[in-house]
Amino acid sequence: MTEQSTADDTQSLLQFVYQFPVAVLRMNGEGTIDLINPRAAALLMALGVQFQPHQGWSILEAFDPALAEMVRDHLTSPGLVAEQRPVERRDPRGHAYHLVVTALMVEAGSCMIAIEDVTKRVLQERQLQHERQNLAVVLEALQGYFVLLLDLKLRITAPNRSVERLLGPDAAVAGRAVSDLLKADSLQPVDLEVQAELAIRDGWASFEAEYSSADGGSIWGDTLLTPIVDEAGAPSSFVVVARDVSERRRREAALIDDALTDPLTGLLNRRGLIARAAPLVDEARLGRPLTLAVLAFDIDFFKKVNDSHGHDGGDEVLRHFGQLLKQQFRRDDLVARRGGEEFVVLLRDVPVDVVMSLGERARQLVENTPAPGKGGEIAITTSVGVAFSAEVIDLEELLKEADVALYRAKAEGRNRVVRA
Amino acid sequence: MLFDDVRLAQLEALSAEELDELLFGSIRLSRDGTVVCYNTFESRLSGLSKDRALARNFFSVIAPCTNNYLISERFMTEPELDARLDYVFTRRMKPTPVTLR
Repeated sequence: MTEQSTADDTQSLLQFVYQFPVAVLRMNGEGTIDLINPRAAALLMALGVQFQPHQGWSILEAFDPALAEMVRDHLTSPGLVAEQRPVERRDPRGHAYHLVVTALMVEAGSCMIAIEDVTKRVLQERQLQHERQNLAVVLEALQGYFVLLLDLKLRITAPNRSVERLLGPDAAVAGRAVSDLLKADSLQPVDLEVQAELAIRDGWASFEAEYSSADGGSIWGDTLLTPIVDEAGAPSSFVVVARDVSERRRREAALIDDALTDPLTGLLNRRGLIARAAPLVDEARLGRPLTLAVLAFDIDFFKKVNDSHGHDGGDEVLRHFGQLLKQQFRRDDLVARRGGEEFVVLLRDVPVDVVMSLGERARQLVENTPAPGKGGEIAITTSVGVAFSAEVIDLEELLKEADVALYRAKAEGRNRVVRA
Repeated sequence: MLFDDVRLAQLEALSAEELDELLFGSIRLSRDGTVVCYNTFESRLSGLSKDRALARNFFSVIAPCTNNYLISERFMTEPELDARLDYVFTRRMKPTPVTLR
């Protein structure tokens, strides 16, 4: 080893130690600080310490009196004096420093003190804590919304009041999969994992979902799902914000129903019949054989009812008739008031003999069950025209056929069932 | 030229060779803290050879002990600076009281 290379090594070593990220100094029993690295000098100067190399003890006492005590006690025994001791100091400007101190007796009478500045980390954690508290306050105050924090596996990370308020007290349990909150047999199911993938890809995902509420019912939530990304840009958690839109949906549903429903009888109106029958017609067009029966009803001598009992009486009869039809036929059958005193029932996949017997039973029911009127019971009868096809292609055609049969029923004396 | 009397403007005018003849340490920095001149006096005191000092950042590499609000921050943020400060350098890890201008 030449002198030059030793000198070079020393320089390299010095430069390496100069960069050491922890402040280090060495002090002996007399209080002389004989070794100190740049970071330690920078730190002590910043803290406003009056630095005199021989005044190690007073420097140490000003810095951390308890530590000075501990070092004094340890002067003769090598070993760890203090490990990761938190110390808080302010510089002359008033700025706070959070430091972590380790003191080590290297040998009797020689103490090494290492000081790590963790101020940034402490401030970051405090900021995070502060933000968490802010979020908690916001969550408490939400009305008509709920906010949920989820981990990457879409499990709830913490309960909060906003969810409890909308979905009930036991809804938001930490560790619970958020999909548990969805209504099981919703008519509009949502695949949350798919939505989560979309959220990661696009930055957010928006959808309407039905959540189970505590009373056994459900709440429709206009939902926004967003990922939270870490410093590297990788998703680390999710936030769900959902707005209760149940009212709006109910109103929308009612509107649709209003357009398709006859207000007097509660049955489908003409438009409603066509709307509900549309999928059946589509099926037929796709070539799937469709067995349909149309029963066309017309209340006999309805004009006379109006004349004898007034419009109120007429309305009462219509309402009553509608009720009877509803009783007679299943929920899946389409029962509609076509207009005036005309009604129609669409039966699907029912054999023709059953159709005829159903038609006959309905006729009998109407004949045997007078409508309750203000001035007394109002007896009525009905004519029925039936059209049946095992291979329906055109619904309009079938309706026309039923009308023709109905016309014949009227012509042949009314209060009867006639098949086309 | 004496340390206490010299004006910074005078120093600015000196060449690298003239700086080497000063009897106090003198380091010329660019606006971003890069060492442009590192005179002989300083090099002898610090134990750092000139070529190891030139073109390095003074505050983070050469003298990390100056990396705080008292020195580096003032240098980087104040447009005009002419201050005198008692400080401690850590030449070869030994605490060395200095006066800075």
